[in-house]
Amino acid sequence: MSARGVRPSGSSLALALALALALTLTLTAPAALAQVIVVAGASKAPPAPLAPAGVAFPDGRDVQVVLQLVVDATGRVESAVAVSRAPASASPAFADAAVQAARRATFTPSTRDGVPIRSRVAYALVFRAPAPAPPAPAAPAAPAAGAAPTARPIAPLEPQADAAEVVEVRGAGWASPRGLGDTRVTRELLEASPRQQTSELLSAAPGFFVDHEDSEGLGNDVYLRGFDLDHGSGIEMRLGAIPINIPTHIEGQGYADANFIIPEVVRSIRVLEGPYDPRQGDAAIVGSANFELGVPERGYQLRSTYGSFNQARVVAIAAPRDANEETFAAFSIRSTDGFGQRRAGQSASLNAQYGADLGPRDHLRVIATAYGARSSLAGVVRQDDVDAGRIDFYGSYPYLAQGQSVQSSRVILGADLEHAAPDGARFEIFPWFMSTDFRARQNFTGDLETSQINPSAAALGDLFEATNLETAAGLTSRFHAAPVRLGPFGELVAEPGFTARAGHTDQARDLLDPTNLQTWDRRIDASLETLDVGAYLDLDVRLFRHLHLTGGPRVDLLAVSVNDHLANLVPAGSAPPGALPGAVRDVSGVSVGPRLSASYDLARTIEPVVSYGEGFRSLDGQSLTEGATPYSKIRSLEAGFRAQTPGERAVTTLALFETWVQNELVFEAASGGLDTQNASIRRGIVGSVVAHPTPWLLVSSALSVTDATFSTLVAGVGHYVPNIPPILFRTDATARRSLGAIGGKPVTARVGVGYTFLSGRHLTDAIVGPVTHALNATVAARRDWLELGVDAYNLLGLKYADDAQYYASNWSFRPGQQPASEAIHLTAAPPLTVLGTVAVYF
Amino acid sequence: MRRIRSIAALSCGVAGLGLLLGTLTRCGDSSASAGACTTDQDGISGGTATFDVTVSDTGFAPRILKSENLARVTLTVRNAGTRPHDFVVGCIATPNAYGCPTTSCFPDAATIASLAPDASATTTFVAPKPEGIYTFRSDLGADTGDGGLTGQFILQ
Repeated sequence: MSARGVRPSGSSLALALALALALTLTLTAPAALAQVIVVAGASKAPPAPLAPAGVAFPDGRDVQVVLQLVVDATGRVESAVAVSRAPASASPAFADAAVQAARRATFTPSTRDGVPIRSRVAYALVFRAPAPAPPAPAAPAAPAAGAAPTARPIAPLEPQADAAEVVEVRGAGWASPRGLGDTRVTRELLEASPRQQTSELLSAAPGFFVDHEDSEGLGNDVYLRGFDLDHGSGIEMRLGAIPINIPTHIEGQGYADANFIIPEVVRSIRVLEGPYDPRQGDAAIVGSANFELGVPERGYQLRSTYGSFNQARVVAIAAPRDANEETFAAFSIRSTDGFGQRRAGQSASLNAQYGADLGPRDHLRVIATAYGARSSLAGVVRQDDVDAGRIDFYGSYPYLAQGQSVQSSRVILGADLEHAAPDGARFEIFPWFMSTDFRARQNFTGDLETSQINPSAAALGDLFEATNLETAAGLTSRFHAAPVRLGPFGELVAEPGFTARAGHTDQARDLLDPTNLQTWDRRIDASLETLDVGAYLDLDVRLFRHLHLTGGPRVDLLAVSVNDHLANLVPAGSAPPGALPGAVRDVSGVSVGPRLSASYDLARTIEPVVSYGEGFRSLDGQSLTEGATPYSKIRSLEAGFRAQTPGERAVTTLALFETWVQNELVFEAASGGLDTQNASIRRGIVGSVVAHPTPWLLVSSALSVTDATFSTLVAGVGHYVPNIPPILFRTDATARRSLGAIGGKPVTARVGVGYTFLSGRHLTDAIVGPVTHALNATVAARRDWLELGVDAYNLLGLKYADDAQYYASNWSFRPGQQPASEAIHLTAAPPLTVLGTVAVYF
Repeated sequence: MRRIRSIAALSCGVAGLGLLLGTLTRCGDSSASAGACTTDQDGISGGTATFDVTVSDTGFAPRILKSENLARVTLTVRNAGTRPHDFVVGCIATPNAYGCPTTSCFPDAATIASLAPDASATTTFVAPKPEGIYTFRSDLGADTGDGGLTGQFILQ
């Protein structure tokens, strides 16, 4: 389901705009002439010019007015508020004219699958200043002093190549694109192919691929620009302005599990590939993803899904019709037996958001979420055992593989208060609170471990239990200033911002006996106090109409205090004589990094872009020694171009990039987690095409070719960063059509397919894993209040591994400690899965 | 004009993807580069590890010891058998064409000489750098026959 945006019905809006402008501008215009160039999507049927108009443009420059509109299901404008105008020195008459015009206009309402709905939209109008007139050859007669100048007709409202873009000014988005990978993924693209969990929605963004290797409760792996981001670590995720990443999580610093968000209430995702925006903070190694919630279709929804492996899911959404689309409450619950052995899981999530105008210029949004999930885990299987037929690809080893599971919960409460000043400035403040609990029990190696507290205990199974409990609170505040004129050639918008995040974490890693889940060794037991205070200054400069410079510096103070309860205890015998267990280590550091991007609007359709940025990521608590730096840096450079057809029917980007990582973070089978490793470098090309060749067809394709190697090219050290597919190709295609009417009610249908290709990944320098093909498809039809749909995953029925690693283990089919050998270990991706959905709207 | 812009934009897109496709072969090359010995795949080394090993007349317990390469290892071996046993770690082959050593062995300090029944000995050493599965054994008398007393020391 997807809502189409509000479109003005051309003649009525044109008429209203013309009348308003004629009235307003004629009264105030002393010098220049006006044209109205209106938002994209206006009717192609141009109305006849009605009246001449004149206007006072400040120094002959264009004027943009951003409006907030509420359009009801009939297309009538319920309210219109001018949020800003630029430049700020422009006459208020422009804003008044825009508001009056919009109020009198009739829009084609937003629709969801053909059903008109009430919606809230941000709407930008540009009053384009006329080009300087050539010298008149001979004036027939000199005008009288003080007489009004001759005015031109108002331009017809047909779509213009240089029309103002409809922009969303609410929420925690970016002010302007940063780099080539800065895109907003809309609902239509999110639904282009089936995606079970919210994290998988990121696959809709060009260049992304998000796997789903395990059941509920575990963060998904994200592939992007030559990175395999285990559990999302390395990509900064936010819900509005609320950070989702956990900086010092025991499963990997920057751990991010976005599956507490109910996919049906994700209105859009703003993704930014690369660290090119000063607003990006901790964990933005490869980029950022910002989830915005909303329910455009008002009313109530009840969705029920059932299918393969006894998987059942129920979603209920309440979106009161008299509230804006930000306001809703949604609940989902899911249960599955899982494919193969030991994969049963359950989850439940509550998302609620309330948005309201506190006045004409103040807006409040409150968000609350609660989530819990648990699932059993089958663990890995050895490739040699699968090849020999000793175990099924979707099987699980006896004895030692039992007891594996994951359980997590998260509670979030946050608010967003926004004030829009008359001059176009905005002030926003976002306080939030979050509590997360995580516990994973996983065995990757079988039975190799020896207790380090009691070395006489050994061979009791390598079932590691990792726990991470964090309570955190924070605040983000920013002031988006009104545009400032830079003489006759440019304009500057400045945004200083401030972020703070403080947290308390208790984390542990123990070895459990899989038969009774009793602890037999302790490897980590620590409490961490973390603080990240950051500030940035973002500058958005447009020079000579075509040159766009953005970015600025960001500074973060990170302080971590680690209370290591096992210091002097693990391993046994390492403590100095007389030392008692426990030690506190304090570390702090200041990360300073510029983020810059430059683009040049070459011919309105082609835009070369160059970007450079420095990001940072917190280090894990165990690697922090007294006085160490608590973060590692990354630097990234990209260059390429963005090209688009008029009306953005097709948008193409091509980016060459290079990224230096001070400390790599890769999976370590022995501990069952991620470990900090050597420096690495990535080079590659990412190309994407998003095309809307017809109004009912949307195609998005992206191809990444990357090379990821450790920088340390010396004997004895691996060269290739493991588990990175050099080639990643994804494409999504969706078609939406009306199928006519049944009983007088329109029937709409949509079909979509998503295909992913991952080339063989280096498991070691010498071993490359197999390629991966994944094909998913969806089909749905809706008539009035009823929708039926079918989603199919892994339609080709291929047995492929979500994750493959090469290491030593001694998995066996007999009890007791068996000899170990090195092998490829596989984590199975789901087989063919078919799910049917019935949705009711009322 | 609009058509020209459309054609220009799409041409750039096609050219860009063509450039991408043209690089596939080179970038998809998975051969290891010269100069890397491929012996430390996880990039992690060091730390400490402590093991208490019991050897009887029928075998070692535990049979597997695992640590990081270059770890500082404290090893205690206790003879619970009725005859003498020792503890010797064998070497592994590390073949390469890049001038790296072709074998890797534990230091001499990792060897524990013959232990009388009920005797024990403790040694401390630094594990070698090359990762792999090293075999340790008792190489005294009857311990060296078929099904001799062996175990594995895994460096990762």
